[in-house]
Amino acid sequence: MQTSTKSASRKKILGGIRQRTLSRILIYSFGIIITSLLIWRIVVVAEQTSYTSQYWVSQTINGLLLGGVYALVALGYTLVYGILFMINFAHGEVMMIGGFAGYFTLQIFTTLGWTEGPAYLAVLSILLVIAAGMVASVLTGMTLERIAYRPLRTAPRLVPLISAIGASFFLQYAALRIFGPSPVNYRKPTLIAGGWSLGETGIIVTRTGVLIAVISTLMMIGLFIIVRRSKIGRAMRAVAEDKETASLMGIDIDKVIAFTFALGSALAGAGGVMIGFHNTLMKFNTGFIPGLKAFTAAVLGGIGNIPGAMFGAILLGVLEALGPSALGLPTEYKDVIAFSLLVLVLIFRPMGLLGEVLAEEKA
Amino acid sequence: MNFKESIRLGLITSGILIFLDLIGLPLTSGSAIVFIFTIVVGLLSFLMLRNRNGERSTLLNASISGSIIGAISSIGIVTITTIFARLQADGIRVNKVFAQILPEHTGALTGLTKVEVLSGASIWPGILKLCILFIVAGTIGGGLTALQSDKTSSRTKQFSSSPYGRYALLVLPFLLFGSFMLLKVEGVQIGGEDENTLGLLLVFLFISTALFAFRGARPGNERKLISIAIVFLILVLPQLTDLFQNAVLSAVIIFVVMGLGLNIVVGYAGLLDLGYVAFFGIGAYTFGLLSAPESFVLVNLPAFGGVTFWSGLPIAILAGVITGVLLGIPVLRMRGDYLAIVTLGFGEIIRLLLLNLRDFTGGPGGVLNIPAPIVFGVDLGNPKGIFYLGMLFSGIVAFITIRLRDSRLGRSWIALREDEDVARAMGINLVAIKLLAFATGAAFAAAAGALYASRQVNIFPDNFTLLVSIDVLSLIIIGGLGSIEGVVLGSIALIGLPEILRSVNEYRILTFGALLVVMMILRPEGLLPSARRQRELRGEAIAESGIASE
Repeated sequence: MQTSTKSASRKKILGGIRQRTLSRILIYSFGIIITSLLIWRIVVVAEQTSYTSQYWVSQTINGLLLGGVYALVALGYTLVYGILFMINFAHGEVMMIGGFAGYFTLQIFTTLGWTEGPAYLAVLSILLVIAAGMVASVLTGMTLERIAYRPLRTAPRLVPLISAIGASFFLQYAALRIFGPSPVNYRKPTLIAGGWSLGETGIIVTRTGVLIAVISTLMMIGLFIIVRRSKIGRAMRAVAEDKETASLMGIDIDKVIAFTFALGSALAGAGGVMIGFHNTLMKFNTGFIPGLKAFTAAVLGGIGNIPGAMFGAILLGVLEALGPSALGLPTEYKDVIAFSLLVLVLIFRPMGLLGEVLAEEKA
Repeated sequence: MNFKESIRLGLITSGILIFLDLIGLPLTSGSAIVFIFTIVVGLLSFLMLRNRNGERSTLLNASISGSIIGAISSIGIVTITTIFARLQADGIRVNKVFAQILPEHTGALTGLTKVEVLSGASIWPGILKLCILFIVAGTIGGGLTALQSDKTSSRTKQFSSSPYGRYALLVLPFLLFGSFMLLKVEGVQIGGEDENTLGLLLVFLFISTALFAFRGARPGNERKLISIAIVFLILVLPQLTDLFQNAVLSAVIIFVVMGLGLNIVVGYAGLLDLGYVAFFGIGAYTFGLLSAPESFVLVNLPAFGGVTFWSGLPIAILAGVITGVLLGIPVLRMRGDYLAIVTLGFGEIIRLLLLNLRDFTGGPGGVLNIPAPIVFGVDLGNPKGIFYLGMLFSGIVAFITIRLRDSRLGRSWIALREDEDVARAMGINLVAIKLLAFATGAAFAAAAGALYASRQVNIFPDNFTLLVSIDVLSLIIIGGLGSIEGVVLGSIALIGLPEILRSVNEYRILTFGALLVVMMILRPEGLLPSARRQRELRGEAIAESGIASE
C-alpha cells in the first residue's frame, strides 16, 4: 500500500520534471526558430538591398548616441528598481518634464542672445539648459515619490504599480493641457548645429551627437562615483540589500529613497534635454515611448544593475538604428523591434544579459 | 497653532491652485472659476487641518491657521495672474507657451472681459476680491475643523447599518427611476434644454444606487425582490430613453463587457494586462473584415451566404481566444511589473500592425460599412438595439464570471493572485490557469469588440489605442477589483459621466490618472469592493473594530 503511494508520488515528481524539461525544450526550440528566421531574413534582405558601408557606420554612430540618451533614462529605472523593487512607470514623464523645462530655459537664453554670442556664453547657456531640465525633473520625481509612492511602500505589489501608471498618465495629460497639443521646437544654438565629416569617408558626426556622448559619459561617471564612493551611495546600496537592517544601522530610509529618486530623475532630466536637442521636437507624449525603451534597456542589461543599464541602452540604441534596414522593414516598425527584444529577453534570459542583481524570485 | 506648518500647507494649496490654473480650469468654467477656487481653498484648508493626530485646536487657532493658508494660497495665483495680465496687455501671446492662458482665461479670474484684459484695464478689483474670498474660505474651512466632533464621523458610518438608513438605501433607486419617469410626463418642464442630459444623469444615478441597494439588501427574499424589480426596470429602460441617452448607455455597456473580461485577468488572476485593447481590436477587426462589403479579405464568404453578426461573433471570439493564448505563452514566466510593460508592448504592436498592414486591414482608412446585427428580422443597428444586445452580452458574461469565480478554476486564480509560489506548491497548474485567464479575458474583449464594430459601423486603428486599455483598467480599479457591481459602477462613472459633463471630457485622462493614485492611497479596494478583497486589504482594520465591538 505504502509503496504504491510512494511510486505514485514519484511518478508525480517525475511528471513535474518532465513538464519542466518539456517547457525548456519548447522554449529553446522556439529560440532556435526565431534565430534562424532572423538570420534568413537578414541574408535575404542583404542580397536584395545594397546599403553602403558608410550607411552602416553612420547608422551605428546614430545608434550609439541614441543609446547614450536611453542609458541616462534607463539608469533611473534601474536605481529605483534596485531599491524599491518597483518600476517607476512615470519615469518617462519625468524625463519629458525635464525636456520642457530645458526648452523654456533655452528660449530665455535665445532671447537674451547668449546662445549665438561668444563661445563661453553659448557653452554656459547649454549647460544651464541641461541644469534646468535636471532641476525640474528632480522636483517632479521627488514630488512623485512623496505623493504617489511613499504611502504605498508596504502595500501589495500591484498597488504601487497601478499608482505609478496613474501618475504617468496624469503627468502626460497635465502637460498636454498646460503646454498644448502641438510640439515645441528646440532651436539648436549654432555651436552645436551641423557636424564634422570624418576625412574622406563621407561619414558625418553631428555636433549634437558629440555633446550627447560627452554629457552622458560624464553623467554616468558621476553616478558611478556617487553610488560607489560616497557615503549616501553606500547607504543606497545598504537599503537595496536590506531595508530593515539598514534602518537599524541608522540609515534614514525615507531620505535615501528620496535621494535615489532625485538621482534617477536628474539623469532623466538631462536625458530629456538631450532628446530635445536630438529630435528638435518636444511634445507631451515624448517621454512615453523613450521611457518604455529605456525600461527595455534596463531589463536587457539586467534590472538593478547599473553597468548593465548602460550596456543594455547602448545595445538597444544600436539594434534599433540598424534593425529596420537589416530586416528590410519600414522605420515605423522600430518600436516593434524594441518591444520584441524586451519580450525575447524576458523569455530567454529574464535576469538580463549582464545578470540581474536580484534573484528571479524577487522579480 | 503652528505658523510654520500653516505656511507650508498654504504653499501646497498655492501650488495646487496654480496647477489648476495652468491646466485651464478658468477657461473651461468661465466666471464660475472664482467660486470653484474658493471652494477648493476652503476644502483643502479643512482637509489639511483636520487630521492632526487627534490634537484638537481651539476655534480661534484653527481659524487663524485657516486664514494663513487662504492668504498664502492667494499669493501664487495673484502673482501669475498679474504677470500674465501684464504680458497680455503688452500684446504678448502667452498661450504660445502655456496653451490655456488666453485673455479670456485671465478675464474669468479677474472678472474682466477679453477686450478689457487686452487693453490693460486694472485687474486689481478682481484680484482683491479673489484674495478676500480665499482668506474667508480658508478661515471657514479651518474653523470648521475645530467645530467638528468625533460623534458626527461615527454617525455617518452607522447610517447605512441603521434600519431606517437601510430602507432608504433600498428605496432610493426606485425614487430616482420615478423622477426619471417624471421627466417623461407631458408638461413637466425641468432642466429646460438640458432635459435629456438630466434624464441621463438620473438613469446613471438609478443604476448606481441600484447596485448599492442590491448590496445593502438582506440575502434571501429581500434581495431577490429587489433584484427582480431592478432587472425589470433596466429591461424597460431602453424603451423610455431617447436616442442620445441610448447611445451613451450602449457605449457604457460595451465597456461593462470589456471590464468584466479584464476583471478576470487583473481582478481574479492578478495579471496586470495593459494591452487588453489588443483583444478588443482583434475582435472588432475580425468581425469587421469578415462582414464588411468592401473588406480586403474573404469578401463575405459567399459560400456561407455572407457573414452576419451571429456567424461572425464566434469567429471573432475564437480569434480573440487564439491571440489571448498566443500572447499569454511568452509572458507565462513573468510577474507583476514586467507583465504590465510587455502586455503594453503587445497592445501597441497590434495597433501598429492594424495601422501598417494596409493590404490586409486597410491601414488608417479602417474598415467601413460593417453590417448591423439582426435578430429574428429585427435590425439592431441602432443605439437601442446595441444597448439591448450589450445587456444580453454583459448578462451572459457576468453569469460566466460568477460561475467561474465560484469554481475550482476561480479559486486557483485567486490563489495565483495571492502568491504564485504557494499556488504552485498547492499543486495548481500555473501554465493552464494563466492561459485560461488570458483566453477568457480575451474572449470577452473580442465579443465586446464585435459589438463595438457593429455599433460604430466604421472602425479605424485609432479606436484601439492604449488609452482604451487605461480606460478599462481605471474603471475596474475604481469600481473595485474583482467585483462585478464595481465594473458597472466604474463604467458609469468613467465612461458615462464624461459624456454628460462635456467640459470635463477634456480632463478625462488627467482625472483618471489622478483618481488611480488617489484610490490606491485612500481606498485600494475600490468603490464597490468584492467582499473577499475588502477583507484582504482592510483585514486588520476590520479585525480591530471587531475586537472593539466585542
